[in-house]
Amino acid sequence: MRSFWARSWAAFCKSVCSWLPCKASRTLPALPLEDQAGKGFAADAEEAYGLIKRLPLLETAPLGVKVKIGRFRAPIGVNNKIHMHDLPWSTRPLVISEYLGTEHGNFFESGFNPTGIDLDFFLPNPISETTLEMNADIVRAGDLGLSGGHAGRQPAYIGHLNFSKDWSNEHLLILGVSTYQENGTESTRLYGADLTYRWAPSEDRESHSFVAGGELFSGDRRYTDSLSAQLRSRPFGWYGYIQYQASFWTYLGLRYDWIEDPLDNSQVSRAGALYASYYTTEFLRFRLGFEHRWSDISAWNNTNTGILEVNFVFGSHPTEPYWVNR
Amino acid sequence: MEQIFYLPSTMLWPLAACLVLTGIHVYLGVHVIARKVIFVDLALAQIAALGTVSGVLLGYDVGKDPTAIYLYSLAFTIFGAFIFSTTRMKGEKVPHEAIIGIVYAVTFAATILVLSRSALGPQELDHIIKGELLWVQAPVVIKTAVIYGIVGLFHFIFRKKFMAISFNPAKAENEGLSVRLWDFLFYMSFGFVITSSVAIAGVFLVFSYLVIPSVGGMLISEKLSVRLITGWIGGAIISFIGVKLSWTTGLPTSPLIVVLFALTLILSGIIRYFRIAPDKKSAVGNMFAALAVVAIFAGGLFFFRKAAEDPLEHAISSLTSPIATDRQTAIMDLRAIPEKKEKWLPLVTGRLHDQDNEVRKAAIELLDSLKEVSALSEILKLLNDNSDEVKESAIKAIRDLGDSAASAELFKKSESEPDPEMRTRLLVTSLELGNPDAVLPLIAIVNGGGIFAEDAFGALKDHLPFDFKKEDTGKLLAWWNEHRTRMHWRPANNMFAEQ
Amino acid sequence: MKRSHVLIMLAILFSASNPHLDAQHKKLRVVTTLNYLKYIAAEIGGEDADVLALANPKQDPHYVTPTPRMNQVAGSADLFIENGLSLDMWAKNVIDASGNPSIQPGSKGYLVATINLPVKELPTEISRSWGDIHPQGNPHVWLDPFNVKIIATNIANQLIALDEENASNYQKRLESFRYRLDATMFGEELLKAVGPSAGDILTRKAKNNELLPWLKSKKLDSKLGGWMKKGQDLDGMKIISYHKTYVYFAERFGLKLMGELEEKPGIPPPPKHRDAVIDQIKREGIKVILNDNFYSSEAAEYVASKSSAKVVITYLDVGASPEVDTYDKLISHLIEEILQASK
Repeated sequence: MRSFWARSWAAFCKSVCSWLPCKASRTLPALPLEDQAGKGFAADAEEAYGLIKRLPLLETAPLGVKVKIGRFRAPIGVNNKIHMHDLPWSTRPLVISEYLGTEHGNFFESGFNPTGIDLDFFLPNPISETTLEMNADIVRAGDLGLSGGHAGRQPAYIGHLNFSKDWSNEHLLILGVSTYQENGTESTRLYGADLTYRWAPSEDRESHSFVAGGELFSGDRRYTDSLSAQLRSRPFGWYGYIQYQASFWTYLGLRYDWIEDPLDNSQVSRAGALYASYYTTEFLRFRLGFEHRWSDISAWNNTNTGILEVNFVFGSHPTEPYWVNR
Repeated sequence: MEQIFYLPSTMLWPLAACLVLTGIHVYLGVHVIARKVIFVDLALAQIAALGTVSGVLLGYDVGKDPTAIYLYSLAFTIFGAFIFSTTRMKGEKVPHEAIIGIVYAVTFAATILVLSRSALGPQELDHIIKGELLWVQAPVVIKTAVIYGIVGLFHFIFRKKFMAISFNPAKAENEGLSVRLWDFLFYMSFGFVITSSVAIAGVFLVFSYLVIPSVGGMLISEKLSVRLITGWIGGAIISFIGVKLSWTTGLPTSPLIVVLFALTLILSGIIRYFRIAPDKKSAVGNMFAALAVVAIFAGGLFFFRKAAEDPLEHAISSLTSPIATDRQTAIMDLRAIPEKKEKWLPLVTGRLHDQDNEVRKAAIELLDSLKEVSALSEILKLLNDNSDEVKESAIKAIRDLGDSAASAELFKKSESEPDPEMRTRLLVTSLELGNPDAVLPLIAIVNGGGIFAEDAFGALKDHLPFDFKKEDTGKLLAWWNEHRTRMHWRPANNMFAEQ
Repeated sequence: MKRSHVLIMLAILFSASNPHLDAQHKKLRVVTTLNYLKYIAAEIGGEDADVLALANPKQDPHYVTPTPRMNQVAGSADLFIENGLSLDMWAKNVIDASGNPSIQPGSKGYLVATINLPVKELPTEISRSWGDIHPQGNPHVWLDPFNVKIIATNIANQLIALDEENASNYQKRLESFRYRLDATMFGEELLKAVGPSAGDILTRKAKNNELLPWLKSKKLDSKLGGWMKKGQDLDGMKIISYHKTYVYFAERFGLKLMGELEEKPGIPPPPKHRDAVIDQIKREGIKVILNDNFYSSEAAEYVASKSSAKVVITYLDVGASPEVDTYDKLISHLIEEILQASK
């Protein structure tokens, strides 16, 4: 009888351990997180960072610098910083998913999401009524799509400069330039430029808006292939989009992507997509999308994709990014 | 013993409906599982619901035009059946399940969209999910039973063909059977059944009746006849228990039966697991491990639940909120629980020193209404408050709670008060608490002839046993000087009187 | 390469001019969310403060999209004033993105203007019907001039706490502002007739709803002027509004709010609700529908076309139109428009 229970207990322990990670796993320190609605903390599956709003020892922050330490979406361009559910599409543009990263898979969620330190500060504006904001980061390289996983553990440097102007909060224009530098036995550089324009009327603002923009990236990668030949790849890619809010509940948009393949620059892929989003309430959104791809790469050529996305929002209404009026 | 089997007569027809559904659905479910397209019935059920809802949107009334609604629902279902049968691709290039899943999601979404345009929206959605089992009556049940009887007969006559195409379509094709045609006939008859069932039982119960009894049967035996019989018996028993429980607890019938089905399935799964497990001991071990995980999960949920907040607890914690309106609301809420006063009184008294004017005012008013004399000394300090409203409330509270010591404080404050109305009020209140020092300043105010002369005059006249006119302040002054030392305050009469 | 990069970054940070070093010798930089706050802060701050408002006065104050310009402007602010009561919740995003430690909640440079005010529609259990849009009570407090006096006092206190040197200036301007507001509210003649502390006395009477009887008993009712006199024509008037904006205005001037055109906050009303409102208007003889300028007037126009009510497009914030470039004009305009429409 005793041995029966002893063996059952052993079986119990074994089956529990087969379900849970019994080895200590590497986790990032869970640092305090920012909540969008301002009522406590929200956990984000991708990012975990601490935002230091008051620097120690200094009474005031020079240039209004904000420091982020942890894991966060890198400020290369505009698109990479924004979470998937906040974008007006269901997929990332090709140039983002191919050049910046694919750690969550090619199709839906991707982009560059490293660990490191980010400094965010304002520069004095040379032209009045405009804003210059700069990000300077040191991050651990390795996951950038362009590097093809060859970068290793050396540090990478990111710089991003934003120039923006708004007219009575009805028209907003943001222009940005970014750079990513990673040097080592294999070096990767990325240069980007982005533009975003948004318009919304002051009156009846919830029912009309228009957003347009795009980004372009030029990459420069030096690496050695399996035959020890020194190779250099300089791919170029861009995307452009517009989105129009037709009514209080509906948004319509178009996007066009164009990229050169990172490994073989002569292979060009293009994608055109149409999207329609419908909000039943601020807590529930339906989105239909259709994308067609043309590509020199046969696996991607003439593929059609249909997308249905349903988004539920839990909790009270947070302030959205520029894209939408909800 | 009779108690256990008792059902009121109103529940008999719902039970009958369940049994009718059990009969046909268990049989059809066997086919559905054999075809490995489990979700087709869920999707078809949802399509039927969309049909109903579209009928409603186009003006038909569920109660008044049941035939029209039924026909709409049927039309949609047949159309859906047609789509499913034509998209069953050979070689499964796109898994049929994917198409069915998409159809289900899109149909549900479309249903919501259609309902958002209709005034009855939320009720209809509720109806679709929960069905109307509790209210189903004889005509509907009998009509359904007849339809199902015909469908059942159809399937019985052609059972060999239907079995063939469900269980071994390749072989059937080879033997010259037109699989597409019989597929279509299958789905069509299926559609008739689904349409009626969804109207009665709701989408999810229909799905459950189709799938769960026959899965349960599968766990017990591979033989078709055994599966059918266990499905029928099991379905009938669960239906009975579900209907009875629904009647006693008041929970909606359809979802309750679905959950009961699930529980039974888990139970039979466990039984089967034990029966076929080669190593019984490790089976027991795994059982306990599974139970432990469930217990930890449930325990965790329970542990981390938000404690149902006792209004007293909630109000006390809100008293220290950084938001002023929360503190104010807390004080107002505490007014409703005077019986627990000992717990919150010191905290509210503490709020007399709050940063926010309105909170201080609310605290004063609460303490005043409860006649809390113990708070008087703190309230007296508020005579020097920045805010007029707080001062006003404080003066009123002091009037209600105060005594002659308080009246001296009031008088003292009046000497430094610049606002003439406040000053007059302080003096009048001081007088009303029996302070003879207030008389002379009040006479001075009457003499001054300003707008508050009336008020001062009224107060003096009411509380002094001397009749005089407003112009006769000289006479009053003389009288007062003479009688002053003999005057004592009589609280009972609210007047000064001669000793 | 790496070390010099870091050194360069640090050099940039520490050599940047610290905007707060010379705060004592320069004007205070005040940033407010809404324009009525800017108006009041400018009146109190005078030459000692530079005041800026972030929101466009024509736009809905609930849903302003923070732009980089706002973040940067807040970054160099000494005092940040928001309305609070969950109206301008976007202010938190601006404060966070500004990187300015002196305006973070809890510090002297941060002020919620609506403290010390009698807030209406506090969320007790009974009135939770409005969901999340006004969870701390109705925030549109500034349409009652008495509340503006309290807000002015709050702002003055905060300015004095930040800049003690100029405390007497702020105090003087506050008193002058309160006096002018009282004069506009009651009329100069009445203030003079009542004598010292007239404004405070009359305000207390008005708040206790005993102004007119009190004036009558003191034989001063003929001397009443200003908004309170004009408002006598508004007393008891039934109106419908699009959003629950006018609770404080109605309390002060005696309007009866019979309902809202908006069924759920932020969402255009469905036809069923519009028709119910039309019925209500006909039943109760309502003559005026108030529609804030930033809401679509489509529903209101429809309702007006099917009944005898008239639509009044109202401005909520100072500067929303050239006619309402001061607070006084904001209230006067509102009173006039309602009176006109009700004729």
